[in-house]
Amino acid sequence: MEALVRATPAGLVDLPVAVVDLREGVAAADRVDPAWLAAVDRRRAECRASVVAAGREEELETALHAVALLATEQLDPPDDADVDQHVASGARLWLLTGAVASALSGADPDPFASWAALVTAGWWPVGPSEGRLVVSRPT
Amino acid sequence: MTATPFTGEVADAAAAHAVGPDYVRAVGKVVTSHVRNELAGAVAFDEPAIALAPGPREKWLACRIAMEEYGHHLKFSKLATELGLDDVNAGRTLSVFDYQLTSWAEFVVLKALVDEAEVVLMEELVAASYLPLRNLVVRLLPEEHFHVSFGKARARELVADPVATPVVQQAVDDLVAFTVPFFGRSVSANNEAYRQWGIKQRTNDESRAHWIGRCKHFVEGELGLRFPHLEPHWNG
Repeated sequence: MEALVRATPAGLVDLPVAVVDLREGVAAADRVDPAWLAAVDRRRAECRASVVAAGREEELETALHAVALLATEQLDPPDDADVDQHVASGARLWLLTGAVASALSGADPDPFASWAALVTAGWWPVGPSEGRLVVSRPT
Repeated sequence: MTATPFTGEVADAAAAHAVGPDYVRAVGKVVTSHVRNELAGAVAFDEPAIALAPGPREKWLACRIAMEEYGHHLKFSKLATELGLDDVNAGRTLSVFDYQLTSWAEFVVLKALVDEAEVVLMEELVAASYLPLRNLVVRLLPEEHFHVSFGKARARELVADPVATPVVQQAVDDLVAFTVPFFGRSVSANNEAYRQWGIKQRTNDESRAHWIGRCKHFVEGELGLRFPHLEPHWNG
């Protein structure tokens, strides 16, 4: 599992892996390394732009529609008023939609593949935060 | 249209068709407006907000909200399909979706005020004669309430910073003006039909007045900002 966590969408991160609960994961998310997050954002945007440039926007939208249909329900926060649960859900949806664009772009190696595998197994990989690589365990 | 207001409950699409084409048309207009507007909301506002978010927490909350709005679109689409409605994505979205979102402050105010308008409209549908619509809004309202509470909480945080206050005030002024038509014209044949068929209970002006009251209380009472003077009467 640690190998999957280290293979972040922004590249390999060599920090001690910390497995935490959801509340601690959200606290860590608030302090996630901004440069790392910007790099993930950039890769996400590049993958999307590459698929669109290849004339496959309709295919991308269809795949995103399928993800939205399944994952939004699957990751529905149990408590409609709990902000932390919404943060954790939104983060995983953000990763999954990035993974869709990445998979369709044909990037090799696929930068989102490892984290997408973690999310679909119920984990929430948060990112590098205060000297640790944080992952929240399935609830 | 029947001479006296319809007071029955309609269990499903087959029963709606048994009531008659005018009933299906009236329910269909309400459902399709939600199909279009939930999608437009997700695309026009919530999705760009993911990039505008100032930090990871806000980014991921915006992402969750965008996906929920899209989910609402899909659920209203399913209702439309069950009713046998054609081309539910055709037609104009409401004017508020013409607004070009350019800042996080605008997104926050939009969630607090424009989603409050959506809540006002949905709350009314909790008593709609068409039970699948009633049941759907009962399921969706907690999510819409969360969107509003998110917007309000972030707006309170923003106005604590004197630098951000004028930006929030501008967003209030702009978005309130854009939202006034959201409820429809004061004189509205559609609204008459909705009330005749027991789909809605309020006139458009009554709904607008309800929204104005809530938003004025929030903007003036909680944010300490100016709420634009508005009359519930609006005919374009």
